[in-house]
Amino acid sequence: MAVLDVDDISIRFGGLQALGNVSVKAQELEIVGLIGPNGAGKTTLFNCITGFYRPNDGRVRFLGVDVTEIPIHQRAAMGMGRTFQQVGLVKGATVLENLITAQHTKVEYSAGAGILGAGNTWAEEKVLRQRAMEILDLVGLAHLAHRRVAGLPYGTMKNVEMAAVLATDPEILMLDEPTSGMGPEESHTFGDVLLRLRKELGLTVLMIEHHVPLVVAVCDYVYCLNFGQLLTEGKPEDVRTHPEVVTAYLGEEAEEVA
Amino acid sequence: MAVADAVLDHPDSAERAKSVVRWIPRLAAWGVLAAFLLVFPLSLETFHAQRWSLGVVFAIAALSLNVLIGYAGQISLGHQGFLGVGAFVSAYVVTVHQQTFWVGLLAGALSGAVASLLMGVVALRVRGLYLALVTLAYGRMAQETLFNLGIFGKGSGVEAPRPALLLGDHAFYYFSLVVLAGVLFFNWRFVRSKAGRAVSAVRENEQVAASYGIPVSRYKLIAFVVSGAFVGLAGTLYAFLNGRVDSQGINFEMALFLVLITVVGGLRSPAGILVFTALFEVLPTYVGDYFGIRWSFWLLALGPALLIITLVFYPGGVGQQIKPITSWMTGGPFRVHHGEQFVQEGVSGRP
Repeated sequence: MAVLDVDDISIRFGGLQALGNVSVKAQELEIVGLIGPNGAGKTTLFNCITGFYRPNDGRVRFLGVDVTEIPIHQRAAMGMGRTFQQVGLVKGATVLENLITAQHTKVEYSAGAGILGAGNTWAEEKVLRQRAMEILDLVGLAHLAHRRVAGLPYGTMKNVEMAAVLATDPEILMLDEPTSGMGPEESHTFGDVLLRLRKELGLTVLMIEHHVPLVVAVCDYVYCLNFGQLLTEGKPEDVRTHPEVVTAYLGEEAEEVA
Repeated sequence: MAVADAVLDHPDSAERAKSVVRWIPRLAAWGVLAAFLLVFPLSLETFHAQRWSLGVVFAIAALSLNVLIGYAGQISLGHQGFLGVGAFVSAYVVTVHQQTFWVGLLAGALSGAVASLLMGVVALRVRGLYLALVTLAYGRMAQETLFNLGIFGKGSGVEAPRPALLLGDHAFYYFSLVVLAGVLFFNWRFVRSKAGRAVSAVRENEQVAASYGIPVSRYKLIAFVVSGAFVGLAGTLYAFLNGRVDSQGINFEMALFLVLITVVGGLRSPAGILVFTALFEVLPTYVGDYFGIRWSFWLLALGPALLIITLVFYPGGVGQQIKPITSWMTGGPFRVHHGEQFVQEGVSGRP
């Protein structure tokens, strides 16, 4: 059973067909890449999967459950974790506070009990804090725990954002351009971190990524979108050298030169 | 030498000794503050004791408004309307239904929460400036219509007799302090638990909050309920402090006053709000005695100026200014920690 099964999704914004009959699958423990030029509909597909957009046609199945109609926060509670292109963090709060906030669905006490300061809430707060620190250790950000997010460099924020999504304890990790704002060195390191996280946390990953060497290095399977249509899919090497993909990225003439 | 060895052998006990020493001056400062709040008012005459009680009532109302504007990023220009609901319902329950003051206090908090929850439902649909206008209209409506209903004395108001225990003005002041302490405790637990974190996340970015699994609408409503319960308590105290409640005093000026002390005091800074409320509500009583300045001058002339200065130059308000002191009083060093500098944010909380 596929962890994520996007079946024949279409969405229109007015006259614009943003996605047309796109099907994407992610099997357990796979790292699936989603590539395509700007405006191809990659983030739109993410938004359809996570519930920010409701597709006009098609179904989204997650862990065998049809989630097409259920709201964002319930999908998140089921284990859909995503990052945003424009860093999705509570920027006024510290790194640690963000990771504690992200554990929202794992908190067992009710909102009311927390406000009243009922007995078990204090002990549980400590556990949440510990888990947040463990995750920060895992991704090597523990030294930034008490820094405010707002003052951090962009690349670091992206890492913190991923740590926060990990704190939601996701089944699938959906990353929207995780290495934007990082140099080649950093993004290479990021690839290693991703492979390690998959092994240690048993994650399935779907990621939008422009950095082709990274995609080739870590992805098991790659989908290429162009103008809202699935251009091709397959092993990273095959997709990279696929003539239509080269055309989509570089244009007709460039292909001739190549 | 032996001492040094002992310290090296038992770093824990050394730490503990250090932290005990560290706390001695801080506890002394807390003691002075407590003595000032608890002992000094005993020397006050009745009028001033009432003034101090009123300061506590407004501090509670401002903490309530801080939950909405500061934590949830929802503006309310009709907060006196919720205070009024708490005041009228508690007075009604005690006077007409012959219940005890304590039942009235509970009814005040509950009715404030329900009234605020209803406004919360509106806030799910209406945002920003439009919500400000809706709350403003609600406040007017409450003053003109709601508080003149037959059950609330058709405009002549409702009696709010104090229980025997709180008959004295000093006793009532101390009781108000107890309620304020309770509100501060709940506010603290709110901020440091699931609900407060979720509300803050929703304020800064609803999409991110939802992707963390936070039901956005529910937590907006929870913020309104918490705020409403706080201001309902303030309303109850307001009614029983005065001995009766009518719609005259609960007007738009009070709403502006509450916004003023909340914003200038410092959004998301209970300490700043308390300090500024004391300065702005209690101090003029004494200054007025010496210079013959009427209290209303304070609000009319100084208020808007302070509000503009805060919004333009010091968005963190008084809370930002006294940060070194609050940091020290709670066990930290007497300075602003590098990573803790105030992040400039608008009223909506979005940079």
